[in-house]
Amino acid sequence: MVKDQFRERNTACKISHVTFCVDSPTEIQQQSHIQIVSKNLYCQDPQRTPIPHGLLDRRMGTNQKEANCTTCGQNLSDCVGHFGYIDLPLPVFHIGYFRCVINILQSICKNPTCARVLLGEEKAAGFRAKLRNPALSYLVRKSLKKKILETTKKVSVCPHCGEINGVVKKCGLLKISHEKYKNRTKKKDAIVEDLLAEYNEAVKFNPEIEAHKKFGLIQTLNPLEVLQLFEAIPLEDIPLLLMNAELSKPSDLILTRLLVPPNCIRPSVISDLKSGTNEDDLTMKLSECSFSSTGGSKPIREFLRHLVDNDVVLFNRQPSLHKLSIMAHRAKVLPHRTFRFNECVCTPYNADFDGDEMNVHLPQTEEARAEALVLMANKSNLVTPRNGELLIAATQDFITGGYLLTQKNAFFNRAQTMRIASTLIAGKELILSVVFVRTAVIWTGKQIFSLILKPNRDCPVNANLKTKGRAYTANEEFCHRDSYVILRNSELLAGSMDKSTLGSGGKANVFYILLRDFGEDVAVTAMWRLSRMTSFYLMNRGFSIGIGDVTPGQGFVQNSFFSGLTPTEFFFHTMGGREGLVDTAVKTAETGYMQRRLVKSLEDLCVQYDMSVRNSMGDIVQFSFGGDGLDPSYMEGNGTPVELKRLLDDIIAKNSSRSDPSLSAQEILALSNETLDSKEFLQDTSENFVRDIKKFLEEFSKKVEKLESCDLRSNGGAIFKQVSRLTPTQLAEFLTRCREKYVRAQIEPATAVGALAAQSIGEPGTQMTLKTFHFAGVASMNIFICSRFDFYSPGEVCEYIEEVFVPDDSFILIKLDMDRIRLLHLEVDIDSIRYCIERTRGISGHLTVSGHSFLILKPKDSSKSFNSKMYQMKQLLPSVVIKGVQGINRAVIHEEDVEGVTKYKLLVEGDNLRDVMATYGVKGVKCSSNNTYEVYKTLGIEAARSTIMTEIKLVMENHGMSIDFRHPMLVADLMTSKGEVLGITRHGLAKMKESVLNLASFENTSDHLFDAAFYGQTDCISGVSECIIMGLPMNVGTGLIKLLQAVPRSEPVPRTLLFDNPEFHTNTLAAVP
Amino acid sequence: MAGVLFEDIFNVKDIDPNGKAFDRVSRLFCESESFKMDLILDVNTWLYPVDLGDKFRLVLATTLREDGYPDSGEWNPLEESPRMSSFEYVMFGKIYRIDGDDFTKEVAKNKLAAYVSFGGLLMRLQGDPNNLHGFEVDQPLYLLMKKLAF
Repeated sequence: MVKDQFRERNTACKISHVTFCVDSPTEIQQQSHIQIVSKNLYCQDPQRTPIPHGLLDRRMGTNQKEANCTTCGQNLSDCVGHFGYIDLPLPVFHIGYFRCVINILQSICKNPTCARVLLGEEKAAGFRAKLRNPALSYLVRKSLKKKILETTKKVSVCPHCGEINGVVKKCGLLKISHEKYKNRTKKKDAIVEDLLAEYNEAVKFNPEIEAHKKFGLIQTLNPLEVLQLFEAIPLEDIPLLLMNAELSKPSDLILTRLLVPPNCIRPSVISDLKSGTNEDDLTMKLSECSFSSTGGSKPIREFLRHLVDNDVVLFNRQPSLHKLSIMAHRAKVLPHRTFRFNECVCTPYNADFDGDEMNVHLPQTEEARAEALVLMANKSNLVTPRNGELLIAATQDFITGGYLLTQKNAFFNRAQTMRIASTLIAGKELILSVVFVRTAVIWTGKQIFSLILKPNRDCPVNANLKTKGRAYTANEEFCHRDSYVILRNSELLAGSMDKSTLGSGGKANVFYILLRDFGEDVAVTAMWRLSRMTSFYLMNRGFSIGIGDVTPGQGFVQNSFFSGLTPTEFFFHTMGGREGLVDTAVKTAETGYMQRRLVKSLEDLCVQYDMSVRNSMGDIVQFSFGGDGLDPSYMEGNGTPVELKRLLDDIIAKNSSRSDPSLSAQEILALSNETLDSKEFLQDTSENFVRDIKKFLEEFSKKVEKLESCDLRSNGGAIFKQVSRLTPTQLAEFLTRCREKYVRAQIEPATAVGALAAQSIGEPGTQMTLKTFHFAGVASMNIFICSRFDFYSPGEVCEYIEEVFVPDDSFILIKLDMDRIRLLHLEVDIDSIRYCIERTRGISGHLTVSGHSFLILKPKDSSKSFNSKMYQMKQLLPSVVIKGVQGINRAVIHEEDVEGVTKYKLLVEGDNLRDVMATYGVKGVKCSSNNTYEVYKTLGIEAARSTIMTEIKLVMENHGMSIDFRHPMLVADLMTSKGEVLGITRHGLAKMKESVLNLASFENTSDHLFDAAFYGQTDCISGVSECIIMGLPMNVGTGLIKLLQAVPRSEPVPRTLLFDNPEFHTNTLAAVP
Repeated sequence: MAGVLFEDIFNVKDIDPNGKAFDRVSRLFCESESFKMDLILDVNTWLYPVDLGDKFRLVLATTLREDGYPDSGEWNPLEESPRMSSFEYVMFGKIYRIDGDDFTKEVAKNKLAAYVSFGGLLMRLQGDPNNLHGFEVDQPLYLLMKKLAF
């Protein structure tokens, strides 16, 4: 079946909200076409016609190909199906509403003639006043219900009719008990007496029922009784149960009528082999029970054609962990049956060619095509929003080729040079090369490589880059392994290209420079040139590896496969390998779930047009995204929009302005401050940014000053014009570019920052290995035990604990070892120990101090025998806590070397931040904890927020993953935005979201739906999940903006009132005599 | 000679002190006789083998024309330069940096260095600033070499 594509309807109708309610028996009848009365399915004829008013009656639709529905006359594929209903002989509890039913029973009087909510008039009025507020949120309503329930649960006598009400609880499966006379058996109660007298009478005749007497006082409420009670609840009391009386009544929660689903979802299979049919489980269940629309849309005229070259297609590979897993490509139709694409895009898809499957979607409308091309095109997504690093870049053979081509000893004669260079002509550029060595005319690979960036003199691309390669040793470009890349005005002057300068996952990358300074088209074209040139070069040169290239072993397994593993190494190698496999299997499931939870809680956060970040309800989560409103994918520096050093080098290289005068250190500062302090500059940028630029220019001017102090500039003459100089035009250009870059880095309104943050944290999660992080660092620490926090008990500081029996007395004698206490620096004395023992549970006795090291404990008289009491206390005594902070397991001192200075840190394991901070000798202001909830309880919500941020950062850094700080900041802000710390779990989510559909689409689906029906909750379809369920465009991204049109509104004309008409006025005054 | 920026006789003091990382290319550390300039130079030893203790004449010029006029900067296989014929090894490259800071941090006061890249083969000429007159960043440069016989 072809899926209908989304089309904006021509009408003004749109689903604005969904209200949930419990179907009443009447409503069930209205939705149904027939009543089902027969328990048999088929008539006793060979054609197997369904029995009329049976469960397979064709009026409920059809499940056979040969028979049509008798209600709408359509066939199996077109009939949507129709409902039927079964009347139940007796009411039954609905399993989904069972909890609600118990709660209502706990709140109302169990007298069938009263059945009112067990609240006095005064209290009821108070609650009614609160409930009258129409704007009550779902959460408030839920908490109100809880409050009313708690109040009414305690009421034992109905304030309206005086009926006794006991405890109502669930007993067994779908059974409710009412212990009406509980707590009344002991006291002499007239009613209970009477009742018991009756039972006693019965016992006289049948002594066997004596044992069952007490059950007689417990009432079991069957569904029929409950239904009667519910029907008797007066209308004005229904709001006190938090139900909406207009939508559904409490009695609807008990089933008396059952909806029968259409035939098409209960297929019956007629077997040819044996006589009879196979029926669906639903049909069978319903048969046991009976024993006891839409207007057609206009046909769309479709123009069908094949996919052709240059069609925009969406390309996708599962698992779609981030937005770069689906990108738009331009199609090229080629023979054979496999998808092909440039390997440079393997990284974002995480694709390889070991049997991977991928999907292609073809957008159908012009809007979809335009959106795909502008927002999702692979060339517009070269960079990951996680941290702005390049993701689509050279891989595999392209890197190898680029590396080999740019080696220092790669020389080519004229024919070779021209052949390699000519690979680029397949496009349209003309190439012009430069000579190099004489005697034999030779070019170097670096010169040929430079053509990738700038193929001819007319090309305006002048890229500048200076960076260390992977094999860098020392001395900058004079690194003896030639691993310091200098790219000056698109000319490769030094260094060989490698993974760090060509590959993905970094910012010191040739293509990244091209993308940032010249745009995506230049970067993509250069990447294409690299693909062509390097693969051609590699094919001609040839490349292979041998056993000699096997990586040397590392770590525990010292030998490589080349030198051969020892038996022990081999065994441990297999262990490591197996562990790795198990690890991957376990973590995919765990990180997948983490990703789902993150996305569900963050999906509807979006930057609004006032630059604030809000959820779908309009609640503000951040006033500006990340505190500065900048887009992480535009960060060129480490979390900053401009890499100042590179920018200045770039500008100086591009504009040599040889005739201009050089600026002195003073002039540099004066000139730059003039611009930086101007109002316009600050308006476009931020204070932090201006401060960074100032700091950078100050450092630069210091260098210039140093040179001036050498007095070389004046002596040496013209040559010194070339050293560390900055001209006014260069400085002006620098500041303009800084400003431009900052403005460009501002985040666009409607960006779905929540989804981006969730993906940015979740996607690298798959790379995290389990364990490893446990006790990181503790093993290497110098550990001293810190006695001030540790637990101590008398058992550890006593010489002995003895029972003493003398003729006139018996007691427990405790002798403290004072030397040991002093040795351990325990800071306790005999009085504090006495105090600690006295307040311990289970020790009741008289404790006296004798001398400076003896404690005498005399047990109090109690019902238990004296001997056992003594014994019990003696067992208890050694484990009493006499010293230490509650909740602390251990404390160690950590020695750390910070820049030559030894620093000590106290690390405490446990969860009592408050008491640790308050401990004598601990600097409270310097305390921190990694327990978010503990910090929240102790220091408040803002401290908790920063703890969340630092902890995420720490974990990410420990796994060697870089992520822009704005993403964890958004998560932390969301978790703390409600004033308490909410987890990214189903419990936290239930407090963050109002929407029933959103919660139901996450976890505990049926619970949320039944709850919503009980409360009569309305869901205003605003979030992402809800819109997807309802098939509406969502309110983030391009869906945020709506076309608004001013409609001329005519003022309502007031109707002329009859009495205002002077025609009908009589002179009343004159009429009165 | 017109268009010549620098000329001197150099002694090869050291070759590849960190070991030979590339075949066909060696890094020479040299010192000049008259101006006492320090020179680091990468040479294609496949075409032009150099040994320790060798002595060579080095000329840095902006053009190959004897009259000193700048040439087109483009290679013409038909063109023959008289200046080139008197040398054994010629490279064409570009000055990309002139700097006072020495990365080896020796007391390099009053010393300046010019950095030139000949298609990836690097040269550093360091010494008295007065000997570096006429050097400009982004300037195309010819390096001409000829070994001296003892």
